[in-house]
Amino acid sequence: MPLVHIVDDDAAVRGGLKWLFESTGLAADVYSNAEEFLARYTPSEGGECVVLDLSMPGLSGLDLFETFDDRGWTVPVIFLTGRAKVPDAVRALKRGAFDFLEKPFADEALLARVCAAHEEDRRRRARAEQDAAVVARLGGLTQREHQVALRVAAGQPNKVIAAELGISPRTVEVYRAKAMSKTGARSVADLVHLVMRQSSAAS
Amino acid sequence: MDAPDGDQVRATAHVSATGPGADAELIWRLTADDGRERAAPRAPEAAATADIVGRLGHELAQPLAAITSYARGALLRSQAGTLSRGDLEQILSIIVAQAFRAADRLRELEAGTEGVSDASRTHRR
Repeated sequence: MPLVHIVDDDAAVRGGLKWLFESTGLAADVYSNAEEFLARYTPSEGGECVVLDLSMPGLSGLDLFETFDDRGWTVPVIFLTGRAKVPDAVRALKRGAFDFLEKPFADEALLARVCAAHEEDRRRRARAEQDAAVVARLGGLTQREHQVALRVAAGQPNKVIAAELGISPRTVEVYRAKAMSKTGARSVADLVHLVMRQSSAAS
Repeated sequence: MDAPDGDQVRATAHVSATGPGADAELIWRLTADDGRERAAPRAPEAAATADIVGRLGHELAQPLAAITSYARGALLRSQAGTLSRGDLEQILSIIVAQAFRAADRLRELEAGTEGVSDASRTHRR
C-alpha cells in the first residue's frame, strides 16, 4: 500500500491529513517535527512520499529536506506552507522538491499531487533497480573485456581497438563475444545502451 | 485603465473643460500625478493593512487546512459507505473545534489591531 509520511507541527493539520489520506486507501505515518522524522524514517519497500510543512519550530522543513541527499533518500517531497514564501519555494524546487502547495490547500489538488509523487517514486525505484542490474552485468566482465566493451560501444572498429590495446583483431573479437555473452547484450546497440546506463548510474 | 473611479471622473471632467482637442497624454499624466499625490499619505495605512491580512492568512491557514482535510475525508468515506456514526460524530466535533480555533485567532487579531485602526483614524483626520 502506498505510504504518505506527514511532517507538521500542527496536530490538527497532521490528524486531518492522516484521516484524508487513509480515506483514499493510502497508508499514513505522522511526525510532529523534523527531528522525529530523522529519528524514525526508514525508506519503505513500496511507493512513498513525504508531505512536509515548510515552517516548523526547530529544524525547518527546508533544512530537513536539504539533508536528504547526504542520507541517500530519494523519496519525493511535497511542501506545505501556511504562508506563501516565494524564495523558499524556489529554493525547495531547485533542490528537487516534487511540489509546493499553500495552506489552506484544495484537497483534490493535494491528493492528485500525492498520487503523482507515488508514481514518481515507483519510476525512481524501477530506474534504480535497472541501473543496479546494469552495473552488475557489466561488473561481471574482466578488465580486458570491459575495455573492449567500452570501445565497441564507442563505435571503434576492431582494428582500432586492437591497436589501442596492443592485441590482435582476432583477440578483440573473442573479448567482444565474451562481453556480449556475459552481459546478455543481443546486439552492439544493446551493449551501447548498457554502457550508457552504467555511465548515467555512476554520475 | 486601472485608475480608481475618482480618477476616471476627474479625467472626464478635464476633457470636458478643455474640449475635443485636449492632449490625451497630458490628461493621463495629470490624472496619474494626482492619483500618486493622494496615494502617498495612505502608504503607512496600506502597509499596516497588508501586515494584518498576512497575519490573518497565516493564523487561519492551519485550522482551515484541518477542516477541509477532515471534511473531505469524511465525504469520501461516506460515499464509499465506510463512515461509521461514531467516526462521523468525532470528525464533526473536530471540525467544530477547529472552526472555533479560527474564530479565536480572528478575535485575537482584531484585539491586537485596535491600536492600528485608531492610528489610521488619527492619520485620516
